[in-house]
Amino acid sequence: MMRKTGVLLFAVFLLGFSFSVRADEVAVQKAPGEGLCQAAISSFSLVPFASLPKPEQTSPAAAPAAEPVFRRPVAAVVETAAVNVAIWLTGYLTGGQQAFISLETMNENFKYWFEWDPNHFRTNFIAHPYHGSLYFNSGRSNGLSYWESALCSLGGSFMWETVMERHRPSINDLIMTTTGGMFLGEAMFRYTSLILDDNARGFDRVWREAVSLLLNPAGGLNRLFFGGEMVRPSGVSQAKSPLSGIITLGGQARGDNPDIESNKTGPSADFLLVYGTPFTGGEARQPFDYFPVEFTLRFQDKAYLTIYGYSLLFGRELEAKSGQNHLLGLFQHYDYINTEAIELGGTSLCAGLVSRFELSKTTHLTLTPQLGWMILGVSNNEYVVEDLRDYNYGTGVTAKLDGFFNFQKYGSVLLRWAHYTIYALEGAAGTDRLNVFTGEYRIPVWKQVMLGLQYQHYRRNSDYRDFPDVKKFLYGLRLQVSYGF
Amino acid sequence: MRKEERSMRKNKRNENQSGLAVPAAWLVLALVWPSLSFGDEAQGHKLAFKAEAGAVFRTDQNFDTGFLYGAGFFTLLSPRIGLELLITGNRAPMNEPPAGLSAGKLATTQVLLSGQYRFAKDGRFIPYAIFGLEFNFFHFWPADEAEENTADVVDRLAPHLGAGLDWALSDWLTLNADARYSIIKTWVEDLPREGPIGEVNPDEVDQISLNALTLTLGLKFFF
Repeated sequence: MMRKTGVLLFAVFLLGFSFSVRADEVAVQKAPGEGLCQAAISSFSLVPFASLPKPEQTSPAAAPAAEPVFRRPVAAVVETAAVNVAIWLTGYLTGGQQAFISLETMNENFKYWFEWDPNHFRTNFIAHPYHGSLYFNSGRSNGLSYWESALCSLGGSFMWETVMERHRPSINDLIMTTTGGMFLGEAMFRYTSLILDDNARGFDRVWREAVSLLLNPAGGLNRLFFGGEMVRPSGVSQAKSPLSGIITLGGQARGDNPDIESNKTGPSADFLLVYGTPFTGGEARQPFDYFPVEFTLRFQDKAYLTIYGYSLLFGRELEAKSGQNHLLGLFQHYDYINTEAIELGGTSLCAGLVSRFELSKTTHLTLTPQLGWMILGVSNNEYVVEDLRDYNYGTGVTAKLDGFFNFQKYGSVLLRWAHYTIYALEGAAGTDRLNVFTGEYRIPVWKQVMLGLQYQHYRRNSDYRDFPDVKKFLYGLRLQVSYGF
Repeated sequence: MRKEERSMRKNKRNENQSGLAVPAAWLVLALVWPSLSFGDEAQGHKLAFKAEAGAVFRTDQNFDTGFLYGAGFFTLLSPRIGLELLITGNRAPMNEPPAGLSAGKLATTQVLLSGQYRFAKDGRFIPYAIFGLEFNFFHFWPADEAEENTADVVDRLAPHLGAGLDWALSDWLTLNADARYSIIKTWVEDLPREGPIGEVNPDEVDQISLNALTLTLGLKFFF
């Protein structure tokens, strides 16, 4: 009991300390990166109580990710092409029907140009972004910047679509492989930068390299090819930024009618990772210096995956009163929602604000409103049945609002609303409107362990020009135990 | 008498042998001598013209061995990595034509892009591994040339792998021997083609394997 109280007091002290230091004071009094971790934890709306900061987390070792000093643009281009050849070769040798290509199929692809493809939802919104992340990291791990590596994603995807498949090139693949690849690629690049340690030796070094190779194959292979250059002190592996997160396990009930006995139940796991911090005291930022991503895996009759994440591309901290912090920025969103009744995938570009208010000494509020353009989005659809496809392609609006109250030892409350309006570009003509509401309460019970209750509500209203409208909803209730780090 | 005859025959044989030995020795010397003076300056040559000739052995016994010839360019990207672009041609008779084709010959034009990993940075002999891609353009020639061609083999991009050996004869001339194995899966289509070939599902046609082992000898002229 005494120990628990001591830890909580220490946490409160650290949180209080971090709030009491104004942004400009951070810049003056602290070395770059020092104290960022507390700020990340205490300010990010997705991270509840979490993450009582540990003493070692507040060490000045944390610093914004540094750009590597080497640049190998030719290697980046060659590796991007090699990714395509390797994937094509795998398909060809295993009898994949898409791999039967020739100069004739290439000519046909340029002749007939782009179309919308009939692939499975997860192929287009999970596999293609992962494919794009390999291109992206062919550039990133060869010393190219985020935007330069984005060109690798675009170029690699264009090459794949036009010449490496017998199918006609698809515009949705080009968009999702490029934008999704940028998101997943940079995320994996940043995560592996935290894992790699050039000073590690023996088993410690082996597991770090192995895990990094799994998460970021292009980066891992480059360390094998160009190992000598990757260990420069200012190289990739030295880029460190604070990382915090929550691992949650729980039992969930889901249903689409008020009869609770008809609900289906199953286990679920949730991983929330927050890289960087929204408030840095005005320091220069690179894209993805701050990004939260939440992965949720649910099991019922089958596995359901949801990914909810966004990253800061450009941002500027605003002048604020004492006890307040505001970050205005442009964010890239990646959403993948897979439930029994509602499926949504898409990538968006949103203007947003991250604001933190100190309501009292023990109560803080973080608000994150965001509004922007859904570049490409899909929603499941009852009237589209084409090969493996059962969804509409479209573009539209993404709006999100996160409100997070932190009551310190009394727990935290998260209220999150996400709205997507998708105007059909291909499929059943009409508009899909999806709303996802999440309400969650967590309370710390022992050290960094929390108990919690989460309610989620999904609602889809679809208006179609040529078909009857569709209205669906789904709700879920989860009892959960979490561990913050 | 017999001894004298024997002695004369032996001398004659020795004369013949020495007569062959001299040009052989000159040939060997001509080939080897420049390589003895192979120096660092040879490393400065990065680009070469390559010509090769050899034989194609299809793993499918219905295809006979074909003569292959080709030419292209080779370049060293680094001391260990080489890149080669070749165009080759061969025409092989078919013992038992695949379904859809009549008796005749199958001509193949290949455009090969190969990477080489060289196991030594320099030296007179450099073994290397080959991996690459090849565009295969097939054309069926009926035995009866008057016969109208109503079917053909579909072109295919295919991978190949193999090994080779460079023997530097001089700082500008290299003799090489290559063995490449191509993995080619394709099918026979009826002519004229009715729609885009990309819309044909390979799972719904009878595929044939044209896997081939190619053995070649070649020369690289560095400049």
